Amino acid sequence: MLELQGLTKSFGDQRAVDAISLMVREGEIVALLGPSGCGKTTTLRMIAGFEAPSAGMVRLDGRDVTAQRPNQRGVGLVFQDYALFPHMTVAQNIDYGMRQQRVPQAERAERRAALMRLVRLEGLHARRPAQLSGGQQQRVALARALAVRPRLLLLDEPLSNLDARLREALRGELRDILRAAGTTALVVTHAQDEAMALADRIVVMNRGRIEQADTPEALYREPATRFVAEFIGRSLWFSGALLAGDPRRFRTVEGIELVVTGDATAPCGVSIRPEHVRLGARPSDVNRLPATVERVAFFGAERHYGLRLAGGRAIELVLSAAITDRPQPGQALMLCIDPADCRLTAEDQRG
Amino acid sequence: MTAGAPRSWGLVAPALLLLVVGLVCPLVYLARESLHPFVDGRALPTGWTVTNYAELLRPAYAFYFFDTLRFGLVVSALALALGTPLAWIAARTARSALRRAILGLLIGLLFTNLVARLYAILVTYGTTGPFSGFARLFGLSAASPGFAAILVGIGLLHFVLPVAALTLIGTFQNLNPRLEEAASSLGAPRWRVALGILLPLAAPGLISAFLITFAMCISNFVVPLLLGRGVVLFTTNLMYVRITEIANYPSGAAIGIIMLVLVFAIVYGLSALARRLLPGEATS
Amino acid sequence: MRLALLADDAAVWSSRLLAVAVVLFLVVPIAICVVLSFDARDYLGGFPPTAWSLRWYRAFFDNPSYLDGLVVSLKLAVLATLIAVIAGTAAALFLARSRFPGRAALETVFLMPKFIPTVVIGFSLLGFTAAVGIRDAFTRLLIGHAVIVLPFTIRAALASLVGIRPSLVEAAVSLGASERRALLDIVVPLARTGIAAGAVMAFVLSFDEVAVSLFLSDPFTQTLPVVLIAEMRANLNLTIAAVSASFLVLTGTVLLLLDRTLGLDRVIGQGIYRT
Repeated sequence: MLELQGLTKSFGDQRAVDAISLMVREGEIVALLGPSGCGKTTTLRMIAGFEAPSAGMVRLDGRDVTAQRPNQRGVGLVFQDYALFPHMTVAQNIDYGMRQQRVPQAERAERRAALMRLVRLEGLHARRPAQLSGGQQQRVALARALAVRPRLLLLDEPLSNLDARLREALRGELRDILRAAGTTALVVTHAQDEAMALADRIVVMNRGRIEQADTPEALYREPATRFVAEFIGRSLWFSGALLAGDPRRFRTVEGIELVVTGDATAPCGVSIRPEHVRLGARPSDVNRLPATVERVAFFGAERHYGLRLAGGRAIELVLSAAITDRPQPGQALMLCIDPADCRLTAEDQRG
Repeated sequence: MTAGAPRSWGLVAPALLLLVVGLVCPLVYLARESLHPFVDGRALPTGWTVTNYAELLRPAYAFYFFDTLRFGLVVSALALALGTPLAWIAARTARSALRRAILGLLIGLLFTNLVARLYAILVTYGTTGPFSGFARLFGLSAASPGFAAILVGIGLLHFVLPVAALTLIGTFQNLNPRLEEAASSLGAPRWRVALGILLPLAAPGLISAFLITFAMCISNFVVPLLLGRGVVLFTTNLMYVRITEIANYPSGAAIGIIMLVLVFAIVYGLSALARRLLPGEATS
Repeated sequence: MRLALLADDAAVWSSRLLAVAVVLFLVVPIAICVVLSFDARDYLGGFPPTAWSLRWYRAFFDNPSYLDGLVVSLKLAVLATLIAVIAGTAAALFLARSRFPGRAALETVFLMPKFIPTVVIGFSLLGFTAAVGIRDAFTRLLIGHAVIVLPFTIRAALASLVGIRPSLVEAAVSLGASERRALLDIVVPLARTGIAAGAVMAFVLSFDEVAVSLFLSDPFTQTLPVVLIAEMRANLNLTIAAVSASFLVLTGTVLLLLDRTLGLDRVIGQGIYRT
């Protein structure tokens, strides 16, 4: 129900958003994920109507709303700083949008009560924002935006103003609320774990462009570019080139030869998820990498190992602290990786 | 809110109208009046001349300008020096009751009618007042015309000290206390910290306070009027006298224009100069 | 080393002493004036008074020219403040939300009256209003006072407005409010500290204004400070002391109101006394 076609925004000769095209289905929760400066917030603001695009189109339910004022689009917005009206109570905040829509008193009270139940804020309607905790403020902001029954809900870094513990706890709750409300939602975030916890689909953005848009699992298992491989989850990246004439053999810049899977157009590299690296190799294993343990750090449930491969490359592995036969600093060992886990992935384009 | 050209010029119209009617047009009128000749005790509505300005270059009149500027400089320097200790305490004290008391006092003084305060000064330092002996510290008697200059100084100080102190409080509040702590932890005694760290950082604010105070002093009218005993006259009083006693409107207008230019030049010119010489924090 | 520490302490204590001295310097004359206003004697005698009386207050309230002056001053202050607050707040709303090349220059233009000596404003208005046919003294006074206090109302409102996060207005708009609604519902209420501080400052400034009032008053319309000055130049009688002391009550009330409603700390933050 949301469609972006070639949406572009330039500031001077800087392209903050570069011809983005995207479709979001009714009821979907989509995350715009990327590092700061990648254009995700600008895209959000263009959808809301607070920023006019330099080119391209925004369509809601099939209608072109690109030229429409923000107060007429029926798009709800949850701001990063919540933007709760400090001089109004929680109830008045939630009522504000309904008042603009001239919803009668009785219905307002009903909707407000239902929303406050949904976001679990019962009993707080007479408080002012300054008297609420961060998590509570965020829920008021949600309830306020949902009160006007928007056809699309936009959330700008909804959890980034909360401390780490709270963020984790509220992530699940936020998803439940969004699901229960059934509204189509677009969430902007720079935290990949947040995107994975909240969204049905993730759109990874970098430097104004969409790198890849897919479900969290597909993005993790089959990253399209180096950027996506390194941004989602951890990746061991090896630059280099395929051996001439053999699409299955790859020589890294450190001189390591790997048997790989997947296709990618050159230039490309190999992305390996660290959890696929095994300790100890049988003679029949293909990708065998001799390595030396340089340092070990204990982190409670896991240990982090700094290893050095032949050719000088340093990598880090995380292993459960519960394993009995654990490597010691200075120890030499053999690592191996299944060719299916050595994915050929496109390098990042510069510029 | 999309940035860019505003749609709501109507918002600014009333204020603009007030300024045009109440300030811009009258000043234009003033400028014109200053160029009219004053002949035989009457201002002529036609004809142009610059004699009104040329006149003011004569020593007798130039003297008034210099005297005014002199008072301004001395009183402003004194106000800064005297206001700093009080402002510092208010800015740095941990006791909010003390800060509120000082702020309350300063704002209260600002709001108290200046004429009432000048009357209080006259009564206190005058011949029958409890501080009439103050004049003898300068070798003068409280009744003598020479004492008028001291009185005007006192009056001006009463006028500008609250503003100077309040401005300084703002400046000092913007100084990061961590910097002082860092300096002391490195072994610097307090006077070194004050001179080497605080003074340079506070300089833009100090200059700003000085300029405000200076502009207030030289533009002031009531203090020399009531305390000057006819002996001390600022350019403002000169202007008033020329207009009301001699009815020489063109000359009065010329003095007015010169004062206008002078105050503007001093405030904007010097603060621009200060900004050039002291890059760093913006003036408060 | 010991010496340096002693010198340090001496510096701290002497600066504290200086601060106290300054406070006394500012407050004592006023205190003396208040005490003298209760003096029973006919003349300005030595301090302290030997006998006490309320005669000078009675003289104040019985004197028609003082009372007329008070009424004129009050009317003028209320009206000038009203005009300046409305025009000033609107102008501040405009300045706070616009971005165009001449904006900073426009702000400077609005703050200009602060830097123009009041005698100049007074005389230029006298001539101009006479030339265009505005002969009523009260109208002239009103224009003059409104112009003088305008920079303060603008400055104070602006200081409050720039502290309002743009996301608040955007939130209101995203919920369906028109820009005008958002201004009225969100911006103006949140700026009320600045607007109120500006209003108080404007009122007091108008009440205390001398030079402009001197030029623009006529024998039938005089502000209280003008009446006071005329009396002072004639003689230093103690009725003036009673008037001065009454001013203090006014000031004290204003201060108390300010502190109760806005908090003095925040009034300072409005920058009304700054450039």
